[in-house]
Amino acid sequence: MIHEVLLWGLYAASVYMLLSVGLNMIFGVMKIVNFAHGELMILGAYITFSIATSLSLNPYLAIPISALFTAILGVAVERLCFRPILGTGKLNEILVGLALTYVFQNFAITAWGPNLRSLGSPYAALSILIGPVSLPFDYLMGIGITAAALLALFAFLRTESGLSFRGTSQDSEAAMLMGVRIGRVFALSFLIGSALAAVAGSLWAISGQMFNPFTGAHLGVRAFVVVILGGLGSIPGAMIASLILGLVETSVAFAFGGVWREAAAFLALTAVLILRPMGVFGGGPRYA
Amino acid sequence: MTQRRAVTKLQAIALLAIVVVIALGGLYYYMALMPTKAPPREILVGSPNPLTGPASKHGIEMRNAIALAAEEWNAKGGVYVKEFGRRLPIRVIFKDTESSRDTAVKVMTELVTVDKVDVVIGNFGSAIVFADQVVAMEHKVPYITSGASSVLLTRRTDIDVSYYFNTATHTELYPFYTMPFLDEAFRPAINKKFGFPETRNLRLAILYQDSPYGKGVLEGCKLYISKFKPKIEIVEAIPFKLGETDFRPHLLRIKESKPDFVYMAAFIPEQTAALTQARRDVGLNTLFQSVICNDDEDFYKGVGQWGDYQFQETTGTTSVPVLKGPTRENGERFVKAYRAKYGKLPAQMATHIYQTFNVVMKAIERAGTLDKRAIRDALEGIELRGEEYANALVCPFEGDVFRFTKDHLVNMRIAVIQMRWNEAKGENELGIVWPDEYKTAELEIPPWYAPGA
Repeated sequence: MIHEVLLWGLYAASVYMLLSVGLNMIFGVMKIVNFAHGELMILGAYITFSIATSLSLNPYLAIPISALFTAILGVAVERLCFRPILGTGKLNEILVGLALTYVFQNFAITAWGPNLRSLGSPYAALSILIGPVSLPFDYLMGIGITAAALLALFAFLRTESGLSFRGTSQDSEAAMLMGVRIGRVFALSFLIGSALAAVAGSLWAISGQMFNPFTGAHLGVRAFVVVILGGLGSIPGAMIASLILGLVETSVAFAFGGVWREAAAFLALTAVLILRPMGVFGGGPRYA
Repeated sequence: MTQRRAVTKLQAIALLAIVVVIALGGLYYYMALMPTKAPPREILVGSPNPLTGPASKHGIEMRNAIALAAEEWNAKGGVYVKEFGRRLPIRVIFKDTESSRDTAVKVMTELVTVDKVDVVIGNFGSAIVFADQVVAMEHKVPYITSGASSVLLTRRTDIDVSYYFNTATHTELYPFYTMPFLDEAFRPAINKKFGFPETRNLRLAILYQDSPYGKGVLEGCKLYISKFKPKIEIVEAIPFKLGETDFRPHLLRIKESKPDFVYMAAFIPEQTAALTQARRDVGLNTLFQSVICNDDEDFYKGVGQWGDYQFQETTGTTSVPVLKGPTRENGERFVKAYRAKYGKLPAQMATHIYQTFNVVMKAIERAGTLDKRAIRDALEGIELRGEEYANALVCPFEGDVFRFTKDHLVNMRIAVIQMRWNEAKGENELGIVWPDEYKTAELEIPPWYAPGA
C-alpha cells in the first residue's frame, strides 16, 4: 500500500509542477504574482476541449494549439494589463491579478457556459503495469509531456535568449544597460508561463477531471503554495516543492483523512518558511 | 454704529440640528400622508439564484425552470386570487446572488424591502440560504427553496423560521431510500452471487464531503442503521474537502477496509473524479452510489465508461423515464417543454424548483389573498391530492400526496438508477433498478466486482 501512496504523491507532484514552474518564471522575471494563473490553466483546458470536440480530434493533438492560443493571450495580458502598472506598487499588481481572475471566469461562462465539461481520452481504458502498480496510460502521457516540457524549458534557458532571460531576472536594470530588450523578455515570460499553464490544464482534464470556469482558482492556490515553498523565482525550487507537496498531501490524506490534506500543505509551508524564510531554493532567481 | 456679531459655532450647530429635525419631520409627514398604493395587480415573486459564480450552473437551471413555470401560469391568465375576484398575472423578479452569501443577503433585502415581493422562491446552497433566510424571516416573507438540502434550515432556533419551507430532497431522506435498497436488493444479490450466508452484514464505506450536506448524509445513515437495524455495517467513513480532485489516498484507505459498497455524498466533479480513480487508479473494484444532486446529464456524460454498473439516486424526470404514478404525465410534459425551450434536459434542481413554484401558486389560490401570513398558513396546511397533485407535481411523493411535514420539509420518493456504458453510442444508458414499482431494468453485479472481506 505504501508504494501506491508514494506513486500517487509523485503523480500529484507532476500536476503541480507545470503550473507552478510557469507561475514562478513570470515572478522571477517581472517580480509580479499573476493571481489569474489558475484561470489561464482552465482556459487552456477549455480551448483543448473546443478543438478536440469540434474537430473530433485526439485531445493530445489539440494541446499544442491550445498552448499557442493561451500563450498569445498571456502576452496580451502582460502588454495590456501588467506592463502599464509595472513598478507602481505591489497593491496595483495584486488588484490587476485578482481582476483578471473575474474577467477570465466570466469570459469562460460567456463562451462555454457554466456547465461542467470533461475531456474524454481515447486511451481511458489503457493501463500499463509498472511493478505492482497498474498506471493509466494517460498518466504516463502526462508525466512524459511534463518532463518533455520542462526539459525544453531548461534547454531554452541555455540559449542566448535564455541568457537574456536569466540576466533580466537577476537584475533587469543591469540587463537593460547591457542591451537586453527587457520588454521582450517580459512578454516571453508570460508567453512561456501561459503555454505551460495551458498544457497543465489540458493534461489534468484529460486525466478524468471535470471542470467549469471556477475550477482554476482551487489549483491556482496550490501553485502559489508550491512557489512560496520552493522560493519565489526559483524553477528548481518549484519542482522540488511540487514533489514535497504532492508526497506530503497524499501521505497525510491517506494516514489521517482527506480533510487534513490542505492543513498539511500549509503546515509544510509554515515549517519551511520558519527554517528557510526565502523558501527551499529562495534567495534570488534561479533557473538551473 | 454697532457691528453685527458673527454666528457662533454653537448657534450654527443648533441651527443645523433644527433644519435636520424639520426636514426629517417633513419627510415623515409626506410619507405618512402619501396616498396608499393601489392594490397589487400582479403576484410578485422574488427569485434570488446564483446566476454567476461557482454555483451558477444550478442557479441558471433554476431560473430557467421558474421562468417556464411562470410563463405557463400566465398563459392560463395567472393565479385566481379571491380577494381580487380574478386571476392575477405573475411577475418574477430574478436577482443574482453571485454564489455569495453577502450578495444573497443584499439581494434578498432588495427583494423584500424595495421590490416588496409577495413570496420568495429559489436559491441554491444551504450555506447561502442560511444567510439570506434571516432577512426574509425578519420581514415575514414566505421563502421556499428546493436547492438547499440541510435540515438545519427549517430547524434553526436562533431566528423564527416559520415562514421558511424546504422542498428539497434533504440529507435525512437519502438514507431512508439508500439503506433499504442496499438491504433489500443489493445485499441479497451479492449473497446469491458469492454464496454468502443470509446473515452476513453488508460492509458499507461512506465517502462524504466535509460540509453540512456530507455530514448530514453520514448522520442520516447512522441514524437509520441504529433505528432500523438493517444487516449493514459501516466499515469506514472518510471525509474530503469541498472541491477535492485527487481521491486516491481516500480510496486506498477505503480499499483497506474491504467494503462491499461505497456510498458517496459529493458534487458532480468530485463524484466523477472518485469513480474514475477508484477502479482505474487504485483498483477498488467495488460499486458506488451517488447522492441525488448528481442526477444530471453532465454527470452521466462526464463519468463516461467509469460509470458502468454504478448507481445513482433519482427522483425521475432528469435523464431516466419519468417515475410511474399520477405525476408521470405532467413530468413528461415538463421535460418536453423544458427541452423545447432550453435545448437540454432539466437537471434535478430545475425539476424540483419547477414543481415548488406550482405548489406555491396553489397555496396562493387557497389563501385567496396576497397577505403574507395567509400565504404562509396556506403553505403549511397545503395537501395536494388526486388531480391537483398530478397537475402540479412532476416527481412522486410519499403516499401520492404533497404536504409539508411539521418542520416544513417534504418526502419526495427516491429511486435508484444503474448506469450501463454503451460502447457503440459512447454514453451511459440508465435503468431504474429499485424499487420494484419503478423498475425498468434488473440490477446487475459486474464481473469485475470484488466483495469485501
